[in-house]
Amino acid sequence: MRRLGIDVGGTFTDLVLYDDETLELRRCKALSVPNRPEEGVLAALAALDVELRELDLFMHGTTLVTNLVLLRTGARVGLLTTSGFEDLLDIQLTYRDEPYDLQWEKRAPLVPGALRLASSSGSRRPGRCSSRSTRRGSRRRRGVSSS
Amino acid sequence: MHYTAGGGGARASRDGLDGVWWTLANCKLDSVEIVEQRFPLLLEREGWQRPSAGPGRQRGGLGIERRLLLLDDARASALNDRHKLPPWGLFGGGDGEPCSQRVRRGTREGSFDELFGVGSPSKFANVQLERGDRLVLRSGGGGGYGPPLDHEPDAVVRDVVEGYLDADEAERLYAVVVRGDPGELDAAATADVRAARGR
Repeated sequence: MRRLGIDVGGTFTDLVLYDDETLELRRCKALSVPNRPEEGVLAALAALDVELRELDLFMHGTTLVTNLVLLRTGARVGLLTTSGFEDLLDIQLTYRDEPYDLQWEKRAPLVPGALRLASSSGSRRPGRCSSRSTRRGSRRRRGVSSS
Repeated sequence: MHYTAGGGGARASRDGLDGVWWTLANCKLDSVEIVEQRFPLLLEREGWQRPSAGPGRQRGGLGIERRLLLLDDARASALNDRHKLPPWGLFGGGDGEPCSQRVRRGTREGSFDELFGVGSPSKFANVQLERGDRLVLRSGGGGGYGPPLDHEPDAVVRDVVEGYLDADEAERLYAVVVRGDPGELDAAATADVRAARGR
């Protein structure tokens, strides 16, 4: 079985190819291209000179999303969530990363309050999300759908 | 076992932290789904208690409200503080909202003391609850620090935009006039209102 794994990072795109019959292990590294992660992947594939049709498994991973969450460089997004739970993204874990630092501040939520909307308040089963379709709702979120 | 984090007291140079643990600094909030799968409870709301923060030059932190529906009979015990005497403000800052835990059974609604005569709204043991009872558990807000009319107007507007208080509360508590949606500062009107209140 020939397995190929790719990891797209902020700086490098790493590729590993493993053949578990011949035990051959090949790897290569290409520069990642900001905002065009596929280019780094294609460059790494070209550098390794591998035919995709010869592979049995292609695994793809990336830290781009992790970087985006940490650096807050992504698009402006909203959140639709179960009615009654719009604040949870802001409440977070109720935990202080630095328990002895009185000047510590929480991180700003990934989506600001004005862009977190409630779905309809349909009945919900324990441990499940609302099954009803989403709809504009809660009292303090009026007029944000156009932003 | 149910813990609710509350609002931290305002700091001398910063607002209090919203919804964090102070005495139990290594506790985390359970996920709604985990609570519901482990216990016969349906959570109907988990959100900020608004407006619970004590006003001040720096405001206190916000408390949290949790609304529960009991899906089975249960016994309740509680050991809480700050239900009667709120977290106090300092140097002109206002008090935060006190904690509360209320029960609704059919058409009756009130504190555990009012419904079950346990002698205290916050400290009791082995109260028999029934399937269908609803609980509203609120943690208090932190006390404010310094006079609310010294609160930076832009910071009040940020709180309105974030949904921590509405425009009416901004004017009543901080003499800050916020217009529009999600909210912008009316600097001239704010100056007038603050002057009329002696700033």
